Amino acid sequence: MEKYVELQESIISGKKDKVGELTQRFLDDGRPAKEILDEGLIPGMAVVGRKFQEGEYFIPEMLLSARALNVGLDLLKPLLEASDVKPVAKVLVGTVKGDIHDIGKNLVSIMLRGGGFEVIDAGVDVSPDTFVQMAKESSVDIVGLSALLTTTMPSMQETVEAFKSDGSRDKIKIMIGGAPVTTEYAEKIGADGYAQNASLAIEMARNLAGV
Amino acid sequence: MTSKERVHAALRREPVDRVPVYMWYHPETTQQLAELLEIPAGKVADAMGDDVRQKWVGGNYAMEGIVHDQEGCTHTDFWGIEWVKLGYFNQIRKYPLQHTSREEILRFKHPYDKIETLLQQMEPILPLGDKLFIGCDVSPCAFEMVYRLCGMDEALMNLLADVELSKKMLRDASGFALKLAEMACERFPIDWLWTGDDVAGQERMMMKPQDWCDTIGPQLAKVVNVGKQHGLWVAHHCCGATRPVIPDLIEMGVDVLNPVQGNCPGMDPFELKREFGGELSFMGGIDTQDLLPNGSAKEVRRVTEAMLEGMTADGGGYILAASHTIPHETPIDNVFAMYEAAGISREEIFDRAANIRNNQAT
Ligand code: B12
Repeated sequence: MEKYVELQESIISGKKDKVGELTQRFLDDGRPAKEILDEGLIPGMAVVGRKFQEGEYFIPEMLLSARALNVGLDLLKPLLEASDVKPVAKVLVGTVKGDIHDIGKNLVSIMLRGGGFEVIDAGVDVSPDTFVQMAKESSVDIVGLSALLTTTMPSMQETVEAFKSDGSRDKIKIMIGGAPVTTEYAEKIGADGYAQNASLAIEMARNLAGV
Repeated sequence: MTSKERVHAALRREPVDRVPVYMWYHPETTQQLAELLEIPAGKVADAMGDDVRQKWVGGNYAMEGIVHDQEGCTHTDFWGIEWVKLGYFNQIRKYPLQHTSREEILRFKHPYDKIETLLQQMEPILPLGDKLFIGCDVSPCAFEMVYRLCGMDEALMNLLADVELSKKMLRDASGFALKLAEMACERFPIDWLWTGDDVAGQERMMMKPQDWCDTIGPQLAKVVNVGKQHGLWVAHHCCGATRPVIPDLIEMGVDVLNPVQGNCPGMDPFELKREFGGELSFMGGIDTQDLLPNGSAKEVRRVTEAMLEGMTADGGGYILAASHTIPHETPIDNVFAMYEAAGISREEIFDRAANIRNNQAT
């Protein structure tokens, strides 16, 4: 909608103060939080994702947009919760055991948040058991595993197995990614999907969530 | 030919008896080799026949040089960065300038009073310099040091959101590396100055190449220049898809590029050789993300042979190395396969190991 163009553009250019100001103004004007989210913040982040995918944006641009997005989301969150608006899906993301590379995982989280997903960040060096436990506690729909080292890729498989032995494998979808990871590897370990970058990750998550 | 002569000759594109080798191992891989060869871990490079010995005198010392024996052990380095042992390496637990005020960042001083202590890391390898090629590693040189001080998110965002602060931090970080480089070059009889600054991922650079040129590049150039002023070779390490700034690295005087991750866009070693080989030498290129851990020894040998042929097509300009530390899931036969392709046989390696054992016994 026309009136959200400026908010979208502020997200795209990563102007956090402007996003805060505009979001608050829409709320003061009585616009529903869900509308501000769906027509302002999310379309803005979609453009950010596209620019990243097309090679126009790099990580700094993504981080600035994410910071601006968070200012908006923080204002909307209590209202969304109060009016019982559900996120697209709940995703748990983390970097697997032994691995501390988190830049890629963080970008994936950013894009998912920007796509209306609720993201729970398990951090780095996350053991299979912790993934299982956290997934249960927050009853997530999707688990996203990141690994940047060939040395830690086996921990992805171990995490898939941990969900199996826990009996909760069929309650969640698992997507994986990171520099050395491939579609073939995802198939081999029985994950549900692989995405090469943060923009494709959100498409994958949408597929997995069935939206 | 001594190792020293071999590396110099290769970099000058002069004839060599075999291509020089400088391999980096994951500590666990070193351990596996040490056990197999029945020698101490510290002697593995000697037995394998590697031509270069190098020490970190910059911030990397805190990451890999300090080896705690217990998981979870911590130390704080000279910059106030807190490290914790996680697996085989130390990882940052606390970035001293993260979430602090701009004023505090502006007040930050690099540990110039610790330069002597840092330079002392070089002492053990200096006596080897009559035969071996000696390097001094002053990395991280610019962006990577800023990242260690204020965390990755702030380091990256400041490049756009607070250019002035970003430039000041980069200037200070490279200023320290520059001082280390100057003192090392003046004091030690080294063969190359090793610089490094990781700014690229698997698919592309972390920041827009133009932003790198405007902020990071000029700072890095000052450090590289120290090596050039002292008439030394200058090597530069940057992982990932660094292609867009290779011409800039050449212009600032970099002679050797490492680690050449050939599976990243734009990083095909043969293409790089064709395009930049006249001015630039390469060290690396044997893939650690798939070939070494997953390939057969035969494949490794074939790929390495092709690499040696392609990368020395103009008579040199290549040092055999993997595209980073060799991960410990790599079958040991694959390690030997690389050396065999370079003309270093397994027998030769085991013979050298036996000599090392004998020398230690006497
Ligand atoms: C920065 C970096 C580091 C930093 C990490 C800082 C941090 N906070 O993350 C530091 C210095 C700590 C580091 C340490 C090490 N590193 Co490192 N590192 C890198 C580097 C240069 C860039 C990684 C990066 O951030 N890229 C940018 C992000 C945006 O890209 P990304 O992570 O690939 O993520 C994208 C996609 O993969 C995808 N994605 C990622 N996760 C997920 C998850 C899901 C669910 C989905 C769908 C998608 C997805 O989307 C992301 C955005 O588009 C890479 C080089 C490379 N080629 O990748 C080496 C690299 C990964 N490192 C490597 C190595 C060897 C190490 C060390 C062992 C080195 C050492 N100390 O000797 C240690 C290990 C530490 C540990 N235990 O984890 C090697 C691994 C090789 C191998 N055989 O696997 C690499 C490939 C370098 C190389 N030349 O080979 N490293």
